[in-house]
Amino acid sequence: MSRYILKRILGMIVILWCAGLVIFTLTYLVPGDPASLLLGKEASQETIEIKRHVMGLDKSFLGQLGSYMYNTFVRLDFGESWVFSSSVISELGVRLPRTLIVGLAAMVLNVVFGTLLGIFAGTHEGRWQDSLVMIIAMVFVSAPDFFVALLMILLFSLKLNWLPAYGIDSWKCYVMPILASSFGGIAINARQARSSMLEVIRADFVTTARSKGQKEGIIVRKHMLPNAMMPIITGVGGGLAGVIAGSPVIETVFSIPGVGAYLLSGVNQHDYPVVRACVIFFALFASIAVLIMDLCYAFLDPRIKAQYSKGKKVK
Amino acid sequence: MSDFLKVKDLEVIYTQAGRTVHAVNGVSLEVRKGHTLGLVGETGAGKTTIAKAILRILPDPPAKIKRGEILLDGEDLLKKPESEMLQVRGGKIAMIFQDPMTALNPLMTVGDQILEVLTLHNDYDIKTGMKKAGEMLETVGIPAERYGEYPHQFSGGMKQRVVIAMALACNPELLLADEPTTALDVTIQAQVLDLINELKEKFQTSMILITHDLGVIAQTCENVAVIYAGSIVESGTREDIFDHPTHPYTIGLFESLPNMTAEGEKLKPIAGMPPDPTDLPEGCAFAPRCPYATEECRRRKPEMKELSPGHLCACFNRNEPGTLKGGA
Amino acid sequence: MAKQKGYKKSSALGEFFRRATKSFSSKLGVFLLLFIVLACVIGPFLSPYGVNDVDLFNMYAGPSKEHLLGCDSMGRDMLTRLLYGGRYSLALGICASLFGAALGIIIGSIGGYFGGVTETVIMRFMDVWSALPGTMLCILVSNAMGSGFFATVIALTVGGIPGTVRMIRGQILSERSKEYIEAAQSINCSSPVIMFKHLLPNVIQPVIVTTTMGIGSTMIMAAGLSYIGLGIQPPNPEWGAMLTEGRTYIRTNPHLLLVPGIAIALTVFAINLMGDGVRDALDPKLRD
Repeated sequence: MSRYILKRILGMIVILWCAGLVIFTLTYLVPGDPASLLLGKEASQETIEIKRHVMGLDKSFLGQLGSYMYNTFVRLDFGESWVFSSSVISELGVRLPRTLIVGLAAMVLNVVFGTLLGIFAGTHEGRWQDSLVMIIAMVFVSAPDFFVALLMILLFSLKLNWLPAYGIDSWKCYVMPILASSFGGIAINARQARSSMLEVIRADFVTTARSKGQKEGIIVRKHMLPNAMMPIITGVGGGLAGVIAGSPVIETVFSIPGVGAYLLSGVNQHDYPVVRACVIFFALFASIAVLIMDLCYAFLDPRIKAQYSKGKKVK
Repeated sequence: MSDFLKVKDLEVIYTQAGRTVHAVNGVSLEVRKGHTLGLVGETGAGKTTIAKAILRILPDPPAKIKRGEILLDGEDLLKKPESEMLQVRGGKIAMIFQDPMTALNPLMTVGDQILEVLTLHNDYDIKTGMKKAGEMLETVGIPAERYGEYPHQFSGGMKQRVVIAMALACNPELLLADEPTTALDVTIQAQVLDLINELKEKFQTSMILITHDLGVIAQTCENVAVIYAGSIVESGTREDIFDHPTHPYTIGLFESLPNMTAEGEKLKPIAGMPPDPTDLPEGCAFAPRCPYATEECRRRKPEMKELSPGHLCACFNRNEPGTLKGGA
Repeated sequence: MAKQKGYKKSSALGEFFRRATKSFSSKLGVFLLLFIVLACVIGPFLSPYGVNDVDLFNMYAGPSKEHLLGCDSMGRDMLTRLLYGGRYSLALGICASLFGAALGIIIGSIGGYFGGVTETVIMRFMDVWSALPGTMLCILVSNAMGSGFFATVIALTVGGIPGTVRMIRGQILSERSKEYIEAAQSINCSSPVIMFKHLLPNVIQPVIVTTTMGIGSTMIMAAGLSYIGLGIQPPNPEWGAMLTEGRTYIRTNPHLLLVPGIAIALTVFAINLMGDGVRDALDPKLRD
């Protein structure tokens, strides 16, 4: 098992390296010279040249790439923002908790309410409760999260005046961002939970449990739920990565100075050290989330665990 | 000896997308204490439905028990409240399922799955329960040390042993064995069958053995009922059925078996297909495939008639017990 | 349960449509989507207003007989802009999904079919590709390529490709070893026949389902991209861009925000309902 974990972590590092390469190339390819864009139209050719040299833009593509990869992955130095001349990593440190609070809280809501709703719908298959839950889920899958967020602002901030529409001054500010980023996930999880519940309800081992004289409630908890949870757990890692990756949009709507907003400001101001660092963070976060969930899955499902300890790879 | 289990006029339907499937149509059968009744029929004839109806574990919806009585020691199971049925299931009546691959919960150790049924019907504390579960594993020929292993670590035959251990854990008075060997390799089939027989003797259990394999019936059963399209067409002792098959369908079943003594003879499959259970013929369900069918057979459903004591057959044209050749 | 209904000869496509529209909800989805598509294609021709006709007397006008959905900040008719913008949004969603599916199928089939080194290289490449979350790739590519229609299609496509490739390759791997392929080989079917007649139909079904569903989520992503200042930008009447324009007036004229937002949600809703129908139709477990 530990060998497997080690292997996965090594693989993760390699993939992050490659991701760094891709990010650098993609930002390099953006048309326009960052130095002249930064200095504005009035700047003289000379000043621009000096700025280019300071920013390291006068080197060749490979030269720039090399020093970027060396600084980022060997010295773990993400550099300074071109626009604000502040350390990117310390700025990330300030912003990270804000993004994580929203992301993790939304994920908890996703899993808890999504699963509960899915089980509720699955155990009432074909009845009105099932249809109701599935229609609501479908509506939330279909509505863009930022539109839901704007509607919430319209209702709770502008009409009812209950919650602040933007900022991070109090816990109240986090209520709407968390809710807005969780609705879609709740709906997706509910659909997933329902379908895996339906699969389990028809499983033979449930009939076996009934033939033992087990009570229906305990059958649901002891036999159906653990089996139905497996596909849901697989989705949690990817779901968490998705919620965090959606942070640029939600943070824009609610003006939260998180990592997502940082990334967008970098994109808009051609501040590529910021963009690169943020994207690396998102990639790192996604791989860690998926790895942890895979390990949880292996821990909970004896079949997968057996495959891992034999050293076989599971695809 | 008295009849221990008596099923009277049982009718079960499935309702699916507005269509009604007549799975079991007025089945009556009896099982005596300590005896085994073999229930023979093709796939889809309603055998499993009967077994699940006895335990009342049919999925409702779509299945519905429309009428009938299921008397266990004179008590009608269909009239019992669900709370009392919980005591019957796994306690008085237990079931062995067809496919051991899917009948076990993949996320629970086999020992715990046996423990579950033990603690449901006995006042064991966990420790005694686990010891008993280990003993049950030994009884079916699995070392007790494998208590903590998961189903995926067992082969098909071993899994079926676990299922059998689970079924017999609480000394049930009646065992419903639903094609217990169908999903297994031929070499394992005999072992499992012997095990069931042996344990049945040991615990003095009555049994309904569901199968489509006449060979299995010959090895195990005192009594046989032949079922076709949800109705019993012939029933009697093993000798009645094997030596004097009377109903054209029973005869057809025997003729479609390879005969070891008559060399070079071709097998005679029964022509045609079983009827659509959503659209059963008005008269005898077998009439469309029956070589003896008359106008009457197509209009009216034949009743079970007693040909000799205990040997019943539902056919208008066959009033004498048949002989093996089927020509009588 | 066996049936004695005799052979029913029906075309595969007809059968597919019959099954895909069996439930009420998928029927609703198909009709709703057809209505939206037709309205967006024909609507702008019937409208008395042009997309960019400015009418300063009707700035921020609410819904009225002349302007059914009111007017925006420059007095442009919202309904006309909505229908016109629907062409953008729908085309974005459909093009990006189909383009992504096509690329994914091609790359995935190459990997699955050739196996060996080719496959390893492709799959490792996909690992790297998918290390960046789809949204990030979309933002980066859109930033690099600008805000044109085609650039946006590419940006929306890139994130989904590794998933499709993995799915196709996984399907090919599992189907390749199944016995019906051996059966086809044993009756001397040629390789192309096996590939196209036996393998592809079995491999492609999950991709059809995810692509159908994907149109909806792609439209949401396109709108989100416009919202954060990338992708298609105002004054183009793409729905996401209209929403972005409208958010400025959330306090005073919420209808500028509600109209395009509801249009997106309703269209995606219709597509998802249809997608569920398609999934049910293609799931062999659910057949009759």
